[in-house]
Amino acid sequence: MKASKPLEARKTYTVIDFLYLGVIAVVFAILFTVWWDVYYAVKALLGPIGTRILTYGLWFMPVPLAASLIRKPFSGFLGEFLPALLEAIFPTPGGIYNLYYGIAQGLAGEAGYAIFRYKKYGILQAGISGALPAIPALVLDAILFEDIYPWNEMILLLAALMISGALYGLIAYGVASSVRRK
Amino acid sequence: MQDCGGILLENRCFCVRKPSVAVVFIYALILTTLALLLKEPHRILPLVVFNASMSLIVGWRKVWWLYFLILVASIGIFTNALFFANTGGTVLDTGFFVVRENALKGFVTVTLRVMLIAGVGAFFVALFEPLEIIKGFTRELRMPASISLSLSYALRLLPLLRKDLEEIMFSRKQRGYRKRPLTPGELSSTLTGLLIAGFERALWSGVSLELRGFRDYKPARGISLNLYDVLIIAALIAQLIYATIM
Amino acid sequence: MITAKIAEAGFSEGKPIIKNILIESSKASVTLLLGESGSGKTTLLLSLTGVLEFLLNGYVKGSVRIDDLNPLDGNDYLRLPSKIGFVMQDPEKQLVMPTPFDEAVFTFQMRGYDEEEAIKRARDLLAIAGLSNKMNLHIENLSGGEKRRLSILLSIIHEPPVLILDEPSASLDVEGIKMVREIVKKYKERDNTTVLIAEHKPVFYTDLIDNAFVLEKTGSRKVDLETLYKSSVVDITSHHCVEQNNENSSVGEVLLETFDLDIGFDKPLIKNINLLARRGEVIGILGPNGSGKTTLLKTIAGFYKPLAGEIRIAGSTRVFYVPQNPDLLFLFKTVEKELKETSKKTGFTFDGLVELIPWYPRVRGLNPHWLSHGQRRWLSIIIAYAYSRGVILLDEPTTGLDYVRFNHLKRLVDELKRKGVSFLVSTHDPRVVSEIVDRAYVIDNGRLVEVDKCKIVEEYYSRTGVSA
Repeated sequence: MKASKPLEARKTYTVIDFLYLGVIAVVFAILFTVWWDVYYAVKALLGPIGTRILTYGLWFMPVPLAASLIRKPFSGFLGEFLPALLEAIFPTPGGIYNLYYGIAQGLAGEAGYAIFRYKKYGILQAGISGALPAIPALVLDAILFEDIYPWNEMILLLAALMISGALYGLIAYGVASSVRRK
Repeated sequence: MQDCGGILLENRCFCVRKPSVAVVFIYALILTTLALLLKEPHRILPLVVFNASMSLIVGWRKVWWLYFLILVASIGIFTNALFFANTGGTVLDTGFFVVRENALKGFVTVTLRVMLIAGVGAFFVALFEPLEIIKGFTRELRMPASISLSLSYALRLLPLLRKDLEEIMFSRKQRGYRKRPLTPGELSSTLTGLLIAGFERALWSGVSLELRGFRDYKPARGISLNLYDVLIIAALIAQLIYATIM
Repeated sequence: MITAKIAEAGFSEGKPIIKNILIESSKASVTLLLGESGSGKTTLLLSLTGVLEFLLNGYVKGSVRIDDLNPLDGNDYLRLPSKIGFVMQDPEKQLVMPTPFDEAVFTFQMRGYDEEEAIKRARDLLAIAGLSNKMNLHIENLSGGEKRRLSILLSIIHEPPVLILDEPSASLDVEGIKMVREIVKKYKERDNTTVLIAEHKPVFYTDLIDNAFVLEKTGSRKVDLETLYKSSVVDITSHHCVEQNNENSSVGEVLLETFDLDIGFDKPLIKNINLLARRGEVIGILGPNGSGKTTLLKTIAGFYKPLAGEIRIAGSTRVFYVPQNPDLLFLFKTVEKELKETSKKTGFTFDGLVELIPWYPRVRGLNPHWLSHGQRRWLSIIIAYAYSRGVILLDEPTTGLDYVRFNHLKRLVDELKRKGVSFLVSTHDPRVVSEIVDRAYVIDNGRLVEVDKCKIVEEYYSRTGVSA
């Protein structure tokens, strides 16, 4: 029992991990609703690109945060998927479409840890994992707003989203270090 | 058998049967996907009317404001359409700007799409409370018990964390800082405070669950369809046929 | 029925928290496990239930026997829940479901009942707990006492032979303590059960204890009950009230006064509040959970608007509210930064603040969230003092503090009192009322009434069923 524990324990989820995910889910569910106001307020001042760089990353942040905190495979994905699921079961304009974002962004962010074989949960991984969800986010937006989405601006938007995601990924790493040592 | 097989109103159960969570969810899911694929406003419009009405009939108090939000957002959609898709024959010349065919069509299509997605989502959440949905997913769609736990726990913590956030914001104000955390440092400290408070609770909840036998927990599974489910499935098929054929 | 022989145990290999443990609790007995905060009582409980090893990735070197099971063996560990009832320090933390009904059904299902049976039993249990009319409301609609009752009932619904209680009087609610005492008494009467209580405040259980162990850094040792009662470190006798000597006290002018104040939300919680606080005075606000103590403090601090009436604060005096959870007050990554920033915002010198924290050098670079419970409270009060040398509002500052740490806090409050601070403390801790508070008000039926504090303390002990 004891000899194999350390390795096994590193991969299996305990009931506490799922409760932690619940905490992350509710914290972000609350933050997401508050952050929309911030987004629109900043948008009035800085326009679409600047705003995205400064604020959009928050929506990708649950992935590196959950992964840095729980440090088990798929924790990043669940960190993004569960808040999205919560959004889908409460009245929100996005409705079920929130789930698409949650799943796609979650998987994209998860890839940031998978490519390191789940052996590293450092600041680099957090940055990458925060930036990757920008891709499906943009794709899903494009599918929805297809007819009026300017293709030439897409590259710029993608860059803005990825930068923002990476920045918030770094913040996530910082938060996780403060919380984990406790 | 659920605790209330009908509608929960002011803590008393009114035995009106409802469709199954899984059926309505799949209905909403399919129509959401459909919304993304449809291009012609005339195909989307009747679906929007139908689902929006259904959602308002079932629970207008819960969802009316969603449509108001979308109306406001449609202004942004219109502006976007004017900037990026303003091609084709002139439709409207105001003197300040010209609205052309494709811009109008784009605006209408996207707005209707958004409305359809919001509409079916609204129908879903108007019918069921969040906790009902979680229980429905677990029972009927075989969602794992652990995920079900995460979500239920999130619901349990919601009022507590809201209060914690308020206290953090008040403490910030008391100490002479901006109430709302906006910079990375402020966001970081707010998140840290919230998470530490929540995680401490979670640790002990976990210990308690473990000692109450959570590892043995197997939720009840199964689905039974009733008349309402059949109606919803029929409505779904009808809408699919309409959208593809018309 | 419980035998624990632990050489060492901890959360990570090589860093033991407890060592040299030999604890036994035999059938039909109530065993007390005594120790200061931080001595490892909880770690010990987690070790002997196997939780430390199997859930928290810790390690336990030794052997444990609970009834006929070995909790340190993987297979037996899985069968442990049916044998144990574990009541935690803060039973509120046990509740994971949004509604009492769901929590009850969930618990019964975990105990092995199928859904229909679980629902039936849940309804019965909730009826016994007096919660039938609240069972589908969100748990936060229950009062603190109701939540506690529910958690405790759910921990023992399967009538386990072994009952383990972790600091059961930490919450100090009269009803809660009574309930726990009743349960322990019932267990005592049966001969095939055992009870283990980990406490630093055994005053409420002295008449029920059969044997006791003390937990120290070097290990555990059995103590006989006579010596126990004579100990001054242990919180074993009910506190006698210290009448405040007002003659040479530095009680000064009125800093805070309320006139016919009504507080609450849509409906007033407390009406016609007329209280006053003078410089150098500690005012206690007492009342059961949910009566409005926190709301009152927060209204005075400006968090909420009063429903009616007036709050008058003298001249340039400031009011600062310290939340019940001090973690929510901290904003920076190190203790040093907290003090530096506080100094910047208030004009209080950094060195002056450091002086007020004797253990500062050890912790200056640490994240304030990582400090011990007592240290976090201390720091939060220092920050409050920097902002307000006038009125400081403390919300339940002594929850979770053992007697030693309580005395530290008392010293800090005394020191600040002498510097002219007026404190308003909401509490239900009799130690605070006896030894820290000068004047006390009680919330009774929606009114705030000034009372004789010593009477209140006496009443408290008698209502919980403890003999003085």
